[in-house]
Amino acid sequence: MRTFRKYSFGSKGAATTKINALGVDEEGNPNHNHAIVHLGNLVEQEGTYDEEGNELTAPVLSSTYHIDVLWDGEADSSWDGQLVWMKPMGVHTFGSSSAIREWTEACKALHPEFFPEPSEEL
Amino acid sequence: MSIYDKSSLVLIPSGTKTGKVYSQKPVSGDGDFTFTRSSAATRVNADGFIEKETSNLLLQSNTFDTTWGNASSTETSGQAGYDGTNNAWLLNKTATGGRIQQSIVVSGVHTASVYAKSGTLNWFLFLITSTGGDEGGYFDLSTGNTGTQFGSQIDIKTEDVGGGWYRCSFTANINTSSTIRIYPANGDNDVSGSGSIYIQDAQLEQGLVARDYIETTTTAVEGGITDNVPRLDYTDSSCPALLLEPQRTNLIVNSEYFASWNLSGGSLTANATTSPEGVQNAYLYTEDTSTNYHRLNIGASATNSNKVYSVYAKLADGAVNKWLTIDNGPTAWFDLENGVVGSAAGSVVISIEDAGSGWYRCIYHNPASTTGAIYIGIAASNGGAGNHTGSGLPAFYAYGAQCEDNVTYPTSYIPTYGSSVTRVVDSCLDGGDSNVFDNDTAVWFIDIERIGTDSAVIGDSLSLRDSSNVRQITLWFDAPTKQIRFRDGKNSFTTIGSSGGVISTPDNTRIKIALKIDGTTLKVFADGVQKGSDYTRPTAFDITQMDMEGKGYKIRNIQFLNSTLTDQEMIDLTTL
Repeated sequence: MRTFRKYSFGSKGAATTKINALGVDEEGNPNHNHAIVHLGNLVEQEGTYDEEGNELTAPVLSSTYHIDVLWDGEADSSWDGQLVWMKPMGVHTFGSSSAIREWTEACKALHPEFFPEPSEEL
Repeated sequence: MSIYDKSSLVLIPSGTKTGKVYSQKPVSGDGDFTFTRSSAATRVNADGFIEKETSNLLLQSNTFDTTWGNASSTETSGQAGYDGTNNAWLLNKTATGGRIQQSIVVSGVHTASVYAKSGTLNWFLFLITSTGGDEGGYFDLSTGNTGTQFGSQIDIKTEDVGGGWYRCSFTANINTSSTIRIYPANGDNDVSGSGSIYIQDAQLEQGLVARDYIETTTTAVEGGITDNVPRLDYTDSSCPALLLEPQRTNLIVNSEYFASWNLSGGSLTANATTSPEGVQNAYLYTEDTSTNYHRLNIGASATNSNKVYSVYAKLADGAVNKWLTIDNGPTAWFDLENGVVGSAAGSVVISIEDAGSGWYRCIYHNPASTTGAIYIGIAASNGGAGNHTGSGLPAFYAYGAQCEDNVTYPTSYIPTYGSSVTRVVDSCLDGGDSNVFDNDTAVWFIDIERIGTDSAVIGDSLSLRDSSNVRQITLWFDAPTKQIRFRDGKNSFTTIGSSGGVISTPDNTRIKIALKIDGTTLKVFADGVQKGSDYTRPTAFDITQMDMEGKGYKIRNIQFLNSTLTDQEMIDLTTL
């Protein structure tokens, strides 16, 4: 079983410290079976560009540093303080359908407001 | 006695199942490997097509009186179906608005499909409702035509499957929380009154087309190259290779749904031709006649200077402008008529791979990128301006765009349908046991092809370990230097054969290498010659298993012999 969760840290350094605590070998490579993706500072407002692709205004980035983890098993509860939940639309995922389903169901249970029910009317 | 007969472990990748890669020897199964990859992936299959994960996200996909809710309708099983079974259902509405429905929680590009046939009514409404609006439309089961449509669905169609049955489908970019509904209808845009239709085998799946039906009961079902399915890849070969790749993310959020990209100087047509996947889900870009850039673009949240973009492209019939351009700052040109690369501006490195049937994977590596955006367009000539006067003609087909950040080479295609997606690393571990491996008289032979070289894949690619998982001997990947070497894990990872034991491994080039253990003396062979000097191991090995990590390579053959070979036999063994 794999568990997909999203986390937010105050800085890249704080995230790296937490990740390294999961275990690294003598060469600095992870020696655990969790998959981690650094999303970094998320784009909160897209930049603008001219026809040549030159940047007109820079994108606005979040001050928090984000990572996604696909845990090998249950999520590490010591990370719960950094957990973040968001509407599961347009956000990064791992390509595991079963893990996405579990995360979506957990998200819906905690945040039903992200899942407004459609009208019964045609 | 042949090398094969002498081998205690032989892995010529051919037999796999979920979580397992089978070795030919030993026949006891002790040489089989445990395979893991905690995500879906893609491969090129034996037919030369890109193969993905398949799925049906609906529950009780052909049991319409369970899990499905209803309103003013009855559902009766045991009806004659499209497939010769009696597994179809009679869906009868008893009052206006009668229907069945199922709640779904998905988002992004999906295709809904159901087989349907006229009953007392010839029409039905097939719909996904969400807070973002309705998607879908009416279908005429007497003609196979579609009627009134809702929303801005990407495609809607019927397929005549005989006997009055049609597979009716629509594709839409849908919201998170939705309901899929099936209404028998009295006519186009008319769900009043009563009457019936026949239905069978409903499916909801990611992507632009309905693929083969997958039956579900109490949970969604995935097939194809889903989690933990090893990949036997047939790219450029009729013989498969075991593909072992590192973790990668496709940062382009819609890799196939090009209508979600920004468009200039032309128009797009969905599902216009057969893609490298072997199904009709490629987009057509048609130039207009303006003097403008004729291209489409999308941003990607890629922030590092090294970025690799790739897209599958094919020249459209009748195209007069035949050079595909990819632009992430500097522009590069690809000759879609002849399947060769053109020029590239700046420090951009480009390549092109034949994907069959006129399709090419165009690959663009920008080592000095300053933006995440990618522009894909058409030009009249190599180096020609993108902002030309358009031909007004179909220009090119596109499929499978990808952006991989902080890397220098592309990996296999990662489909995305509304968000960036990460494919997790492949691992193939724990082949063999103490009976398989001799520590003093042995040969370890590997037929390997490295698919790329960058700093993310430095380290052990293959290793021989003891029962405590401690590395005894490793095949080490270096980067950025394109080389590999055997290292002695019992002696501070000394390079076996010294500096001369280092083996050059150009990307995408097959090489045969072998390590000979004869008492305390070890020798490295590659490409039919001994590499480096004889190596004397100071400490005996204790090998009980072989591991392979996803460092970006293909394996065509691995053999371990519990006997040694002459140097001439080693030369013959490693000669291509």
